[in-house]
Amino acid sequence: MVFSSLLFLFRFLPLVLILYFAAPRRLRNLVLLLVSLVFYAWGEPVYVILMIVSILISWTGGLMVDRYLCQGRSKAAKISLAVSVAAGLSLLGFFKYADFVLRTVNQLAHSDIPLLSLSLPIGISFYTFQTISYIIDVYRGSASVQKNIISYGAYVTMFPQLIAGPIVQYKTIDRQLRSRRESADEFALGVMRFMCGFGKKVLLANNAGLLWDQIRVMDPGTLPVLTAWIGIAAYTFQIYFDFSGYSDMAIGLGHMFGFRFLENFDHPYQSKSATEFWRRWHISLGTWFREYVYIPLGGSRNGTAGLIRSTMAVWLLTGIWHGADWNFIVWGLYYGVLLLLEKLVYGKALKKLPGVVQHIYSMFVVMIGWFIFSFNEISGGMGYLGAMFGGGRKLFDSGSIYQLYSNAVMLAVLILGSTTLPAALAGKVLSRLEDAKVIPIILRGAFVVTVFLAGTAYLVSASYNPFLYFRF
Amino acid sequence: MKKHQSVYLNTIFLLLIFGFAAANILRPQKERSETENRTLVKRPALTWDSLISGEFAKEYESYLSDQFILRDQWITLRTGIERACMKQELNDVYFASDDYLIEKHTGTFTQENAQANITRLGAFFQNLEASYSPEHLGCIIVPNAVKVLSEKLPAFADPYDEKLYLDQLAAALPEGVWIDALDVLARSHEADGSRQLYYRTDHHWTTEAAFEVCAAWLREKGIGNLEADQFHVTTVTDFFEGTIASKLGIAHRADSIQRWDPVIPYDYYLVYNQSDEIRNSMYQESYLDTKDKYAYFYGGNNGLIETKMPDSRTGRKLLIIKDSYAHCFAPFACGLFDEVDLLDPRYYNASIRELMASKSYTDVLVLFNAAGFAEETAIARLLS
Repeated sequence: MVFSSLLFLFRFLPLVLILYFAAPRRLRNLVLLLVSLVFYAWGEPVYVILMIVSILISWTGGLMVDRYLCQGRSKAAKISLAVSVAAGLSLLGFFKYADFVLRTVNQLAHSDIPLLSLSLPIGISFYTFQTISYIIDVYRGSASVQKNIISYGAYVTMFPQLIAGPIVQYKTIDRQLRSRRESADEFALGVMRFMCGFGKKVLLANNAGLLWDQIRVMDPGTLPVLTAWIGIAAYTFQIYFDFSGYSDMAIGLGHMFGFRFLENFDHPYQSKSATEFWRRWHISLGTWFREYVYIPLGGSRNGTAGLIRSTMAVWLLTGIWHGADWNFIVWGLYYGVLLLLEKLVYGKALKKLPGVVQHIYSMFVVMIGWFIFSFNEISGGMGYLGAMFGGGRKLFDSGSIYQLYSNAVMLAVLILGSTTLPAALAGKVLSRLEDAKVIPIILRGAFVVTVFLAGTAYLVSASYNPFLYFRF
Repeated sequence: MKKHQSVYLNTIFLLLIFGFAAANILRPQKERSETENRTLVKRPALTWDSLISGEFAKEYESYLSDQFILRDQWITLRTGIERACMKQELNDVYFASDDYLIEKHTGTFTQENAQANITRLGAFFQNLEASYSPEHLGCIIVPNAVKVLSEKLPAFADPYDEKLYLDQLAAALPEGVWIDALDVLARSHEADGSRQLYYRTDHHWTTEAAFEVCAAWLREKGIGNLEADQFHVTTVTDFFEGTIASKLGIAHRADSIQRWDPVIPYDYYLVYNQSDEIRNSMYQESYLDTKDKYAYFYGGNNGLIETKMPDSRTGRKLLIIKDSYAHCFAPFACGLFDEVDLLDPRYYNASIRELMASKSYTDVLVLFNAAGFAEETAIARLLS
């Protein structure tokens, strides 16, 4: 199930709110666990079993690690840690990457091993990373063990963050799982946040996606430069509003149930370098790789060679995490190289340039990155890349002018919407009206009603509601 | 946010989701949508198999969207938002000038089937060449509004140029078979732009456009002369909101439908689908009260409609293999033949070859609209 659907808004969420708030406090984690299983099973009735297995493995692993540590048997603890992490990774590896590996082997060895053609279990990359972070943190002593399988299950399956993150680390919500206070204020905060995300996804991302879909299927041989860039810009916005909208909805829903998840996006398109971009984009993933891969590998402590080694390892894995295809690997390595270049070669020089140049540089490398990300067929991709740099032998044609002016309002909203401007403006207006009784509530109410009605109109009328970050 | 503000905001949100949820559950289900002209999905039955396969989930979501309360109004709202944002097209339809809604037909002519149909049509006519001379064969593929009315499109819009496809078709046919409907309509539009050749809200051409092309075909084949003053024109409805308007779900400037009757009438009767269903009018008033008003002509799509003119002594029998574009076209031909049969390959299930052999037609005409022809999967049946 996805949040941006009629099913979620008008069936699932109302029902869950009733069940959750009608239940006594001590049963609320159980309610969350059960409804989350339904939420997951709705589209993946069989794979829910896989998720339960994964939960049981990591929960048991956590218990064992904790117990051995208490008994001072650090070797046994280490083995338990290794076994349960390996088990989680094997499930992820098998279901996500088996066919990719087989295809590659077939290509290299000219063999003909039949593919498994498994469909990817939704959210497996997200929940596997959560379970792994839990066991490692228990081993490191930075998280306390969760003995209650219901609370632990609720943590892993919790529907707001289940299928598209943020990747919530157990230690950040341990206390909230044990005792939390839902309140009208938290709920209202959640409503505002959820509606923000809902609007981003349904009104902005989907429409940007329509434009990209129109352009990506055009013949790259005759595609003018301008159209190619409008297309990749549309995709750039689609993927941001889609993913960050989904994170907003997750964080908003968390608030409604009394949870505070960490932020996942911080206006990444305002960055002045690729390094900064990754501090602002999918923060929970970056944090995860830093804590569990980069730092353990030595990070920057072992000189330049060590830095290069650990950076490239992280970015290779980041690429692979995003999908079982070569373009994701290339995309990951691309950022690895960029970040190293910025750190070791031209980062300082870049900072001395005018801000606007830094922004242009950042958006340029980010858009090239999204181009790599979007094409998993090398042949089609190279044609499009060529078109972006003049391969269509035209700067623009009447089609590009048409795309530009008929999408002008949308593009303007997309650009402004990805900056801090709207939030700053809203904050300014609302703080001025701090003492007014009625106006702030009218403004907020109008926002909620408008986004709700407009979004519902799009959901009802559009069969077009794909979700980009679904297959991770 | 202050406490009382939170409570208000929460109330608004909860009212919205619970209100619409309750309204949707309580309201009776609808069988079909008039605007969209289709059956709506109803609440699916829950079975173990459908649940496990995920089929139930899919069906249930279609049901929710199809049966959503005020469905038509939501769609209108969405279209309104798009218009307010200066979007020039929606659902592959241009908002053209002069209140025209014009379908873009993206991808229609580049798909495999479009190319295959060219070959199929060529083969069909080559087979006929043995028994018919070119003046008894005709092929009219009517360009769509997007081509003929291209000056009405939004500035800089560049849809697929249908002429490319029509030229390919013309080249695939034996000499003398192709009738250049694009040329006829383009000239007509150029001569008098106020003439309405296509409906503003529907994908069909108008009776006037059909007249122009029919006259050109009859003249070119030497069958007869058709002049506008041989007809008197009656407007049968002013409230036609066709399929394109439905696609967008907006109330739009309605069209009127004209019927052209010969000043000197002739007797005819119609046999539907080779059954005992005999009718005595090409026009069926009852459809003017429905959404599907274009079905006023011949009552919509049928496999085979034989129009017999008992008093006619021309010695000519015409077969028109066609889509619904022929429905406002065929009446113009009837005065010049003893019999005019309309065959729709999508609905005619018997062998077309056998029918042609048994009925000994003197003339054969193929008439489709270009986009419809390119997408039509039943063209292969012409060879069966």
